[in-house]
Amino acid sequence: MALAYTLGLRALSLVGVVLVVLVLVVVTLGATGFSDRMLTAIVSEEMRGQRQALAETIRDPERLEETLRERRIDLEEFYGLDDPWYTRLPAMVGRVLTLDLGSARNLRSFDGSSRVTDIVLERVPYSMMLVTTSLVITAIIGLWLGAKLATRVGTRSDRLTSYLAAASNALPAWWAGILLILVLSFQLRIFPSGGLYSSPPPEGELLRFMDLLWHAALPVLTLVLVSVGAWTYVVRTMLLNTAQEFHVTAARARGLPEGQVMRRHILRVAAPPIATNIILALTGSIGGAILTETVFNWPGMGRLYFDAITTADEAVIVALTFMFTLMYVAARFVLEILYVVLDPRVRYTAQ
Amino acid sequence: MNVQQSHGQPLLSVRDLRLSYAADRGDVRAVDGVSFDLEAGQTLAIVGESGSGKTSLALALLRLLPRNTSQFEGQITLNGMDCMALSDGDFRDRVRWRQISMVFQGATESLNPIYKVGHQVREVLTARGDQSRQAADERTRELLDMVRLPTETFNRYPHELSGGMKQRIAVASALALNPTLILLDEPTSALDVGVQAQIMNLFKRLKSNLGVASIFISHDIALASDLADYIAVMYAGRLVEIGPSEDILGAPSHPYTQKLLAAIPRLRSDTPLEFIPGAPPDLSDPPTGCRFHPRCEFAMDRCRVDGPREFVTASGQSLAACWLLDERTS
Repeated sequence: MALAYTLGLRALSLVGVVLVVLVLVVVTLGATGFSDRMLTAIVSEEMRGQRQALAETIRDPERLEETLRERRIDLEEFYGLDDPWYTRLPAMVGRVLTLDLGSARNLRSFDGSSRVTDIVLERVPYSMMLVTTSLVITAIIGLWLGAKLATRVGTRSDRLTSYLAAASNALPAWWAGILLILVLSFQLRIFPSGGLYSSPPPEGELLRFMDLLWHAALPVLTLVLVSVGAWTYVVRTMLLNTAQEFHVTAARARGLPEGQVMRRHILRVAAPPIATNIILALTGSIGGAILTETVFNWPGMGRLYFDAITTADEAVIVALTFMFTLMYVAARFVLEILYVVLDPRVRYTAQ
Repeated sequence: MNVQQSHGQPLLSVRDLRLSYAADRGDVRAVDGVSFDLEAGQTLAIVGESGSGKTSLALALLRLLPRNTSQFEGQITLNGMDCMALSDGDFRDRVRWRQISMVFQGATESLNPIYKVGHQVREVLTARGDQSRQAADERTRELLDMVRLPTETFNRYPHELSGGMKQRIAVASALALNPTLILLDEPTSALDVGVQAQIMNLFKRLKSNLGVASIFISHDIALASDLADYIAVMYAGRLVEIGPSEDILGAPSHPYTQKLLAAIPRLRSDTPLEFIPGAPPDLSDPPTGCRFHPRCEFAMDRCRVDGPREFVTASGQSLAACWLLDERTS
């Protein structure tokens, strides 16, 4: 009972988080004038093009100005500039909250649809292919290596790995990506430098898929390189903290085999914080990786977010922010439940 | 140091045991040449101040060596078996918890917070694959009963139990494999007096019912006297006096033992409590000669230079490492 009550409270506060994030988006886009400025600039840019085009067919200057004025009003209506930001943006948020993500103004899916849902659904698999895959690889290496190091603290291999971990953590993803392209793509010609498929793409489903994997190899390698160090080090430290707790010595004193001490008395006890890392990272991975996707010209979610911001496509920005926040909040809620399962000390009392 | 308590083979025989830790300021000699014998079913109390090496001695007996151990040598013979000759794996499989088990000072810290206490006791029984789950469950309930805990405690988590109950769980776990020797390392120090008395009574009952030998480590000589057949007094990594409890308590020979006893409060006594001036020595740089000489009111010139041999005390039943006994006998 108390458990349901507290989980309900948590759910409520997480819903609050979603609302606050959306308000913040409205404020940053609207109240700062960013959105209006960007849209006005886009309208002016288009008007310049239209004026040149119309000037060739409409000779009468007055009619030209009249037509241009009409066009401008049409454009401003199209971009929503006829409404002030404080009615335009909240309306967008309200619609998004009913799970209607709306339509993009400029961005299109590969087959031309402007529905945000279409655009997103098309990109999510590509992002997951890159970021989620690399995360899974990173987490497996990090857990395995971190556990190994935790059992041999202070040895040469431990110190060497710690230095490498720091170096990996300091490595910028875009720089590592460019370096890998230079060496493995231009010099050794083992991997392609970017994109999804070769041109022309190979015939047949299987060959096409293999081609896609081949193109994904370098960006995945980049992401693993820059994140595996931090993972290894964090896992090592968490396990070490647990390994130094006295109950581990007591477990050894009871003559339990070393493998069982590691599994049941160290790994299992350190599981909650590690699970937190994994679940939050998995959720975040769906959001893509802006820099790596840009360097490798990979049409994922990171690139989509980036493009939406540079073209001031408010509908897409609001929809993506809503989606990511919702996923984060859902992950947090899963974690709340997971903690109760993993750690009996987490007691929920209704107070 | 060695007292021949009987003519049979002792259960445990320790000779010249040494355990040192590497530290920045040099090796810390926590256990520095300790020898004693223990008969089956008997209780030996090891008393001394904090930092005298009592816990290190217990850890050495279980070969639970900290990572910075720099020296570990000497002889440990258990039931005629040379423990030091065993590999780490053999020692773990054959000695640890099967023959020698231990109850730690911090009951809370010695239990894994995320498992039910019953499962933690059971784990000892099933870990080596020598018992089925059902048999182990059965045995666990039997053990809970032995330490006077209700059966439903089996499904409790450590944080749901009181300190005394947790220490009972630790005792149940220590008894699980029917060891011949239990090390009790300050098992009641973290408990309040009432619970302390209950746990001491539990030890006494187990001693008479099960006949298991124990080494009771404590800084409280009065408490130790409640359980011990023999008392060994430890100072700065060495045993300074060892003998039957009555003898040590009634006629202490070593000045350090005398001081320890004089520091015990007595009911309605007008004489002020004595204390030992100075502080225990730094074990990375112990005093020359007798380690107690800087704090000893009887210190002579030779005490500052020569470490004392052990001498049989006046009662003829104990041994003490003090030059004063040499004076007396000569």
